[in-house]
This record gives sequence, structure tokens and C-alpha cells, in this order.
Amino acid sequence: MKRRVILGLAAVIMPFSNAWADIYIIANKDVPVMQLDKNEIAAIYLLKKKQWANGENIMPINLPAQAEARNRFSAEVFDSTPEKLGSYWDKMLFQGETPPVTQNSEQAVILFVERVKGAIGYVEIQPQNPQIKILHQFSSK
Amino acid sequence: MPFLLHTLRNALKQALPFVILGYTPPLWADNPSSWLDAVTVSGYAKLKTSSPNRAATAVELDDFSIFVSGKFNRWLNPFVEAEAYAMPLWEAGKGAQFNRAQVIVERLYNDIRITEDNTLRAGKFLTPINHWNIVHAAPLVWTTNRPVTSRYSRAEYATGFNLRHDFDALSGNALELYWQPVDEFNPKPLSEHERHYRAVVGGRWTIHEDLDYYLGAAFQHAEVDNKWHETRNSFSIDGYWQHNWFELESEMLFTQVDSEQRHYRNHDWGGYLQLAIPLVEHFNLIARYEHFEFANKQAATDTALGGIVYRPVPRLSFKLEWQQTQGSVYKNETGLYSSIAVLF
Repeated sequence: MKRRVILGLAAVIMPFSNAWADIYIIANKDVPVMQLDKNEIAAIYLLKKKQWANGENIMPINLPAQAEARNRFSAEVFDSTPEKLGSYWDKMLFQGETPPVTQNSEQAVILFVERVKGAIGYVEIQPQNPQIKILHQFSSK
Repeated sequence: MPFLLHTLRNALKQALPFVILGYTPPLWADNPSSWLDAVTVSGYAKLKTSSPNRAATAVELDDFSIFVSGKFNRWLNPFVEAEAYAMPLWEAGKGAQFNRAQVIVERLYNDIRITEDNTLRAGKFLTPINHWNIVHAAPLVWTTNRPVTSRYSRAEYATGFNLRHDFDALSGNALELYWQPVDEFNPKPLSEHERHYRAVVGGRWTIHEDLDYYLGAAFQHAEVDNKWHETRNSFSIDGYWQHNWFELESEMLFTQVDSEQRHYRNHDWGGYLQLAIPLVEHFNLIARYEHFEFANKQAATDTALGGIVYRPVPRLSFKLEWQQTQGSVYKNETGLYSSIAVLF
């Protein structure tokens, strides 16, 4: 009986388990900052802040439009939706700006950030990698 | 038989790693070391059908544009856009036509990031006279027809320099000043009531720009390239507000016109108000009203537009609209218009 109750609870809770994950803003270890606040992250993803303090180009990385992490990132940082941000980036593309590079998975984001000096991304998996630093953590609500 | 089974088992064993690889989500990042990673190639196309009251129904490839940008370092950030436009494909009474294509270098410039907040642009660029002009690509705007206010009275392009200073990156508060000292590079051939400009100087103050709001004010002084020594000084304010349930957009313009040409008033002035309302999934209802008075036309123009836009994905739109115009006409004839536009 006890086992059934536990299994039942797990089945109810599992669909909402994504809501428990934190969002980590990660960057290559060589970027010259130790942390970023929400406004600075927004300025980077709105393509308005383009360089790190050392002159290196900032390269923001994105996840696919249907990714749950992108949904949460859009809500946490912009109080908006991936669709609205997508439309904004399309307009910026026409103005000559380069929208964030999309990687297919969180593992790919981590590897990209690890390899590219100016890269910054967001993931739900806490990276355990000396080549990467965490600049901000949005805690689950 | 056992031999066959053994062979099959071996084949499966050989194939298994490839099957697993094929279904494994990518665990690697794209190789970022090539200079090509700093280059972005994109473009858009617009196929337009127009059925104005006083002209033949026609289908044309109104825009086919390719743009390439590079972000290499603070000194080298080139951008080029080439556009083929107004290519008639079919016209009532004449049938299919593939006999004319006009190609223009719409933009060609390099950006230098002097500091993080200051950018110098040199080359041919879109003048920042309003938000519509700088994002005028068909897939990014709501209607097939552009408001007269957004395009008629001023230089839409400049060949020269543009200096932009960002006061605050997040709120979008920024000031741009531009200067065209000589004639425009590779100008579009003129149609009726259009002008080329000899010298242009102007500026735009973006008061606020984020995902939901935009508000900007612009000024432009332009010397027209004609025999009447015409000069134009324009002031405008434009903005939009994107709410969850609607999107509101507007622009007001006043241009003081000084010319030796016979004219009815010494200014152009006008404005429009546009409303977009999301309906059921991916469908949007569009309504616009515009009033515009021309310096060189006696009657003003009043245009009411109603339409539907279907956007199954953000980069693809199908537009259908009816436009009713009274008074003078400048590319806003009464009639039914439709277009398919895609950004790629």
C-alpha cells in the first residue's frame, strides 16, 4: 500500500519536475566577469551589449524554441515568451545584428561555451567543468 | 539457416553503433574556429498580388533580398544587402512576364565600434527616420502596403556616415546622427513623385526600445536633387506598444518644404494609427487609418485599411488586405492586395 502511494505521488509530481530545475547562466572561464545581474543578461540577449570588458565579442547561445529551458529563460529574464524574443531577433537580423546561435541540446551549449572564449549560454544542468563559470543562477520557484 | 542467422546477427552488431549514433542527441558543439562563423547570410522574399481599382490585376516578385553580415572585430563589421525588386510575373491581359528585373545595392556599410557605447557606420544605409524604415522587410511588417507617412517625405537611404551613441543599453535609449555629403550610391530609379537627395543630415533619438515598447523622434534636413532648389526639413515621432491582446503603432510627421516648384502648401504633414489584434491561432486582424497632406498636391489622402495576416511561423506570413483611399494617391490606390513573405 505504502509503495503504491509513493508511486502514485511520483506519477503526479513527475510532469511538473521541470519546474523545479534552476537556470544557470554560464560562460567561458576566460570572460572577465565573475557574475552578471538580470539586466546585464537581458542586455546581452537583446544584442545591445556586444563586448566583454576585455574587448572580446560576446556570443550568446540559445536553445531551440521548443526547449523548456528557453521557455523559462524567456520568462525569468524578460517576463516574455520565446516567440516574442524570436520576432525581436528577426528584426535585429534585418538590422545587421547576429541573433544568438542555437545549439540543439544543453550538452551542446556547455561544450560550445567551454570552447569559445566569448560565449555565454543558459542551461538547467549545473555544469561541473573547470572551463566554465556560472555567472548567475535563477532559482526554481 | 544457422549461417544466415549468424550473418544477420553480425550485420545487426555492425549496424547498432550507427543506429545509436543516429538517435543520440548531439553532444558536441559546432566547430567555432572558422572565420565563417562570424558571417551571417540571410534574406527575404515577397510575392505580391495587387488588384487596384484603376489598374490591371498583377502578380510580381516585389522583393528578393539577400544580406550578408560579418562580425570580425571592433573595426571590421561589414554588411551588404542586394535586392531584386518589382519583377512582374503576370498581368491581366498580358499574361506571364519575365522580362524585367531591377537589382540594387540597398545597403553597403561597415560598422566600427569606437567604444562599447559608440558605433560609427560608413557606407550606404537605411536612414533611421522611423522604426518602419529600419525594419521594412515584408515578413517583419503587418501590411503589404506601407503607410505614406513612413516613406514619402524624406530620404529613406543615405550614403555617408552614421554615429550612434547608446545612453542605456537595456532601455534602448540612444541617439543617432547621420550625414550624407554627396549623392546617394546606387539609387533606385525614380517613379512619379519620388526624389533623389543631394545632401542629407539628420538624427533620431530612440527614447525607449524593448520587447514591448518603442518610442522615437527624428529630424532630417535634405537637399533634393532637382532643378527647383528644393530643401526639406522634417520632424516626426513614431512608436509602438505590444500588449498581449493587441499591438498599436503610430507615426506623426511634419515636413517644411522650400521649393521654387509650384506647390499648394509649404509643408507635408500626416500620420497613421495601426492596430493588430491576434485572433485564433496564428491569425491576426489588421486595421489602419492614415491622413496625409502633400505640399505639391491639392487634395489630401485619407486611407482606411483592413486585413488579415496569417503567420504559421514567425518568419512566414500570408497577408490579405483591402485599402480604401480618398483624395490624392501615392502608392496607396484603392484595391485588394495580398502577399506571401518569408524571411530566411
